[in-house]
This record gives sequence, structure tokens and C-alpha cells, in this order.
Amino acid sequence: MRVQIDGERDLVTGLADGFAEVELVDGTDLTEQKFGFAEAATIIATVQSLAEIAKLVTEFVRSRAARGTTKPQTLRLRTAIGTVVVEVDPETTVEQLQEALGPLTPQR
Amino acid sequence: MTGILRADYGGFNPRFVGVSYLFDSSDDYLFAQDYLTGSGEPSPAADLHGIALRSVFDHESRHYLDFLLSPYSMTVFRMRLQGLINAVEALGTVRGLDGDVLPVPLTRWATLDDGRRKTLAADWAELLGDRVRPVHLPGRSHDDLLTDLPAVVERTDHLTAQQAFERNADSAMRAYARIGQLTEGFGASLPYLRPPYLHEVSAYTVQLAAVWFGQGMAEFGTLLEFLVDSEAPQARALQTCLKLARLLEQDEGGSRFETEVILPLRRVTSITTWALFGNYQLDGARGCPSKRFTELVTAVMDASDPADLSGRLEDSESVARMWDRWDRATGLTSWRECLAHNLAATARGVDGYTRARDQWRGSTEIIDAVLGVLRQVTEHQRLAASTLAGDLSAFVDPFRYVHIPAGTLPHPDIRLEFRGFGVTPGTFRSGRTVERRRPDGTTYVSGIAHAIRDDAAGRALLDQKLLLESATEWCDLAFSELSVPDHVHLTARAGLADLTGKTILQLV
Repeated sequence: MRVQIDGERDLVTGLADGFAEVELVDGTDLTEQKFGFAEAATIIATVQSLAEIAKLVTEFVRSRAARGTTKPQTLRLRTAIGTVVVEVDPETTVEQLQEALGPLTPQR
Repeated sequence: MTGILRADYGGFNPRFVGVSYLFDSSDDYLFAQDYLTGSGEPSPAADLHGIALRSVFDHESRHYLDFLLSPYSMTVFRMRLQGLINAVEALGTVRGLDGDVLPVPLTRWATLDDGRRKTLAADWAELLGDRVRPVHLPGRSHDDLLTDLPAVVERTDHLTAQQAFERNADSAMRAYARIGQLTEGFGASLPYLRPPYLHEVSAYTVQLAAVWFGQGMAEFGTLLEFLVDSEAPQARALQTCLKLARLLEQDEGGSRFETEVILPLRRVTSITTWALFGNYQLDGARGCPSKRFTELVTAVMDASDPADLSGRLEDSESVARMWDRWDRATGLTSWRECLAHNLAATARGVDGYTRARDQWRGSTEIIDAVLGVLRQVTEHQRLAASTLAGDLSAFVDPFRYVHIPAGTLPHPDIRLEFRGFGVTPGTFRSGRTVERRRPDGTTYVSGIAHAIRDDAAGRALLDQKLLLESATEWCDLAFSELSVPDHVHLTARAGLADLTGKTILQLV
């Protein structure tokens, strides 16, 4: 399953290292003039399950917290059938995140 | 205040022909409000986050002005309207097509070969546990979508649903392909010199001047230091423009700070404004702001004395002569002709959509909104062009620009968006509010839009703008790679499914 992940550059490029199959894409929308300071990035990861993403993201956010970056991280995830926006902080559990990612796969 | 630097404090996207300001907390909102109304306690020097909150209004307003006057930007805007009108028509026919899946964005789907389409259909079938049958859309190459066809207004009610869909989808995809090409730009050997980043540089110069006068030298220094050290593309574009400005600056100034920072910064706006005046209709790819900028750099580098291509910013005639010399040195259509052509093209757009409306079938709500917006754009362009002609120096000197009296320049409608917090309903006495419901059933205001002309006509036009924005977001999602707000992603797929009767599947 291909999953597009957008978020702050540091977070997303850091996550990219954890996926076995991933591509960095230019997700810049040049029709949008935004004033801001944080840079965004986009990757497309190919995964077997949402649990794989939930585990990787929570572990990465916790490891960043251990290095001093404790602010909540917003990620946008998109698959063929759905889009979700999640806010992840060091307290977020794998189970909570996996549940939030539910709309990315068919509800059977 | 949150104090955390954000990716977006405000934005200008012609989907909403006005400017948007974004607040992540009530503290941020009140901080900005106190500053703008002068009602807060005097505060110590703000950090970068606070500086941004207090100056984002100046930044975004310049985007609106540059959008109005830049012929190149207006070409992109006209493409956006063409995309919208045809995409709305195309989506209206999808329900009658064979197939059970609408793959989006359609512009990407169209460029995939049969093999790739079959692979994706197989992936989707595995994901959904059922066979999928995408609607039929003939394959097209990207180059094919970029060929020019004459604009026509024709009746399509004699066509089958499939024929009408293909006809309208083709026009929409051509518009979106051209938007992609124009915003990517031509001749920018460096990615950070693409047209949107030159727009950002223009807005930064005005913002910095506003910070200087409105907040203080310390805050000015904080923002400038960030921008000259940052590796973000828009900041690198500013750094490159400053280098060119230093070559052109003839005034030696009174101090090193003045010579190396203030004078070049002041000169940058004259460079970006001239670059943004490029006209794609008249000069083709050479009308791209990126191309104009790089050709100007070449002309200055090749000049035996760069002073020959400079001018005095405090003298409007001198600025005009300087731009005339740049036109000659680069061999491009004169900036005066580019501007005149731009105003005429917008006026022709009003005429064209008026004729199209006469042949419109069904609801005219969307095309009426297009006409309403285009008429206001025409009016605002004329006001901006008149101010520019009256005092060119004030227009291109950011330290004078921020003192141009209110009412002399067109002001955009504005929208405030609240994220992560809400305002109590009834707080705002005017404006169009967006209300949302909490899980406990109580409601809160998550955004508000204000018409700059606060009368019945101004509010009716604001409603039309909001309608156009909503329709454009749906069409962008269905046809293009353009990003849409999170809430659109969360709702528009269901809305498109209701409209078309198909399952919406996103190409990832």
C-alpha cells in the first residue's frame, strides 16, 4: 500500500530513513503564496500495514522528545481511499495512532 | 503566544481572491489584534514568531497587489478560471458515465499508459476486495496538454455524457497543465528563482519596511537576520536579489549598515516588480519573471558600468527610465506595454465570460461568481495602475510604500482562520463566519471572512468569492496536483462521490 506523508521537513525526512521502500517527492504547491518559517516535505512510503507506520512514527517522535523536541507533530497521510491529519506527541501510543489512521484503509 | 515558528502565518491563493491570516491559538490572535488596533499594553521586543504575527498583514497585502499588476500572474489566474469552469462542467457529467471509479487527479490519470492504469486498478481491487472499473478518459501526453487551442464557447447539450465529459475534461486538464508549467516557470536554472519565490521577495521587502516602522529596528534586524541566513527557497531568492541590488546601488550611504543592508534592500522591490511585470502573452517564456530576472542579471554583469542600468529610487522618472533601459538591455516588451496589455486582457475576460453566460445551461451561480470577481479585479487593477503611474517611486521603494495613504491602493477582502481553538458565536458583529460543532454539541467560530467593502454589494461579492473558492477546491482535488486545505481533503472526496455517483480513488 502506498502512503503519502506530508509534514515538517525534519520530521518527514527523519521518518523516511525508517521505511524499507520510500521516495522523496516535491510536494510544493507553487500556486500558494504562504508566509511562514517551517519547511514542509513529502514522502511516499510503500508499507504492508498501517501498524508499520504507527510504530515507526511513535518511536521516532519519542526519540526526538528524548533529544528535546517535545512539541506535537502534525502529519498528513493519504492513501488511495482516504486522507487523515494526525497530531502526534511523545505520549501518543501505537494503538491510538493506528486507530486514527483507520480511514486510510477500507472499513470492513 | 505559542512561540513556535510555523509554516504558515498567512497566505494568498487566488482560489480565494483575498488574503488569509492563520492563527494557531487565541493568544496569537489577541496578540496580533492588540497590535493592529493599538489596544494592547506596550510589549518588549518580540521574537520571530511575534514579529511574524504583527507583520503578516503587510506581507500578504503586497501579494494581492503584485497579483493584480503582474501580467504573468493574471495569466495563471485566467487559467485557473478556465480550469474551474470546465472542471465543473466535466464533473457534472460523470454520473452518466460507464464505470464505478473516478481516479483523481484526472490530469495525472490521463497521462498514464494502459499498463500503468491496469496495475493501479489491480492494486485498488486488492485494497477494496472487489474489481474496479475506472471511467474512460483517453490517454494524453503532457506535451499534448500543453499545446495551445483557440478558446471557444460552444453548446454541448447534443453530446453524449461521455463526449461532453471528454470535451470539458480536456479543456480543464489543459488549463491545469498550463498552470503547472507557468508556476514552475521558465529559465530558472536555480529552483529558488521560480516565479512564486520572486513574489515572496517582493512581499518580504515590504514586510521588512513595515517591521522597521511599526515594530522597531531590533525586530527588523531579527527578521532580516533570519532571512539572510535561511536556506529556505524564498529566503535564498531574497539573498540573490540583494546581490543584484548591491551591483546596481550607486548611493554609498552613511554607514556600513546602510550601504550593505538598507540601500540594497530598498532597491530589491524595483527589481522584483519589474520582473513580475513580464507578460506571457507578449513574450512567451521570456515573459516569465524568473527568465526576466536572470536576463537582467546577465545584462548587469555584461554592462561596462552597472551604473548605466541604475536609477534613483526617490525619483519616479528615474525609476521609469531605469526600467526602460532594462527593457532595451534584455530585448523584452516594454513594461508599459505589458501593463497596458494586462489591464486590457482582464477587461476582455469580463466580456468573454459575459458571452459564455449567455449560452450557459443550468445554474449560472458559478459563472456569475466568476464575473463578479473579474469585475472587482478589473476595478482594483485600474486603481493600482493609477497609483503606480502617479508615484512610481513610492510603489517600488518599500520604505515609502508602507506610507502610501489608505484608500490609494486596492485592499483585498480578508479572512481569519482559527486552528486548534474557536471563538464564541456572536463575538463578531460583521463578516461571514464559519461555525463548527464540538462533540458535545456546542458550536464555535473557526473562521471569519470580511468584505473590505462592508455594504450589501461587498458582502454579496464576498459570498461569491467563498463559493468560487469552495468549487475550485473540489475541482483542484479532482483534476490537479495542487494542494487543498486539510478540511477539503476530509470532506471533498465524499462530496465528489455524492456528485458523481462514483468511488473516488486518489493516485498516490
